[in-house]
Amino acid sequence: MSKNQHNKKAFTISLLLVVVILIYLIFFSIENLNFKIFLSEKDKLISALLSTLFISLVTLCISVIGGFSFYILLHAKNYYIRYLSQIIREVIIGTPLLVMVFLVVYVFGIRVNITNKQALGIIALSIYMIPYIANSFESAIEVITEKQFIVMELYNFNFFEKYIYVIFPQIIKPFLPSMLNNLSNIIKGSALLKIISVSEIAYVITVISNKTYASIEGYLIMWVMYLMITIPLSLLAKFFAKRV
Amino acid sequence: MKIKINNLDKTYDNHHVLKDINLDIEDVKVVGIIGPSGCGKSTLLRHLAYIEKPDNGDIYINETKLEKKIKRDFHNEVSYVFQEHSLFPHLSVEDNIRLILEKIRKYSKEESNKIINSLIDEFSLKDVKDKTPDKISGGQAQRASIARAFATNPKVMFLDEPTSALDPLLTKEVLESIKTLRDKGMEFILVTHEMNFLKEIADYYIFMDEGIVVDNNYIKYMNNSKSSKFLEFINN
Repeated sequence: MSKNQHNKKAFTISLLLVVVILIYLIFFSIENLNFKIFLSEKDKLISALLSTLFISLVTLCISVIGGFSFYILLHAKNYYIRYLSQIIREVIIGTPLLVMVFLVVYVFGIRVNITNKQALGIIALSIYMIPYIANSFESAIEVITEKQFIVMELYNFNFFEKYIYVIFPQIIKPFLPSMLNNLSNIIKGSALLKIISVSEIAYVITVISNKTYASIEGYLIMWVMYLMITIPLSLLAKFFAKRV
Repeated sequence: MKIKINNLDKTYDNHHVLKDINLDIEDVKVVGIIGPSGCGKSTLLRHLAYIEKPDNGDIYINETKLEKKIKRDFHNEVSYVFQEHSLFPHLSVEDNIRLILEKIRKYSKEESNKIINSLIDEFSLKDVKDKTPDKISGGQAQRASIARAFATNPKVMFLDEPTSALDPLLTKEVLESIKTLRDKGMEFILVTHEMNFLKEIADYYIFMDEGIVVDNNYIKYMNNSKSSKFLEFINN
């Protein structure tokens, strides 16, 4: 058996083992589980799933643009801008997402008079993710050698020409896996938006569970729903990472 | 070409690389900077090309003082070739040249096609023009770098040991390309280890050792040098 076939066999067995454990945990570990209640609410669950995906994708778009802008600030020639950005990065990275959501909704939201909880949730998630995305840009841009920067300088490339013609085309490959991992983190992080009543997966399932006293079933379904999104993303990230 | 350097000094992390360099050179076409490894010749070249700023001192190329306000105009008139090729790795040889001509220098498509086709012929790059740098040999990539540097028709080309990473056969190919350009009237300031090539192509030499200019003169007076260090260097 070749090494490749051996690897495939080992992966398949491992996958089956994990699926069996999941099935056991979901259906047999606790007696009298009743998933029928959730099946009858499947329209709400699908709508919550779509809402989670919408929130996550919008957050990803904002935080990629914000992360890139923040990366530029972190590398600004002006020392004040650079140090200020570095301090802000540390503050955001050190802030729990839960606190960030509260700050954005109950401090920023009230201050600027925004009441749309979904919009505020997206802002909170985006602010939280921006430093991580900036770090991903920082790592990806390391593929551009110093010599390439000198060549761009010698030919008088302007800021946009540098990024559009030389930097972006080369950093897409190394950036893509970390962006997919960040998307996965956003999706998981969006579960915290239930505390401000945004109707995403965690909130809708909590509401159904509270109504039906089926908390365990609710959390198991929530678990499976998040895994259904995050595992393919993680595999996709690994696939792209291998091709870098 | 005229080069004037007044009291040039450069230090990196307490390492004094260029020590009070003064030069005044006129009426030269090809200047060769030579000297043992680590003597500061590449650093001097980078300063002459205004890639780096001196800690102290002034540099004048053709009576233009190298300073921030003329950097853009100066770089529009010169080109630089590194020790190893400096092609953008994600672009083919042809697209490397096309990017500079069409997107950066805003040449028309017809104009850039004409230049690219003539450069591809001149530098024997026909077979590799659609390949990215990682798919071609070091010599081909270096030739493509020189072709790209030549594409914008610079007044002065800076070459930093352009053959140091190549085997003898490829070295010959690259040196032939440089000679062709010299014969067409291009001016060069180059760092090289190839003494025979220097004698053949340059009309002025600058010999450096430990960050100072030990000797400088027209090539034709090379053997009359009074510097024992220089004579020892060229005879080895």
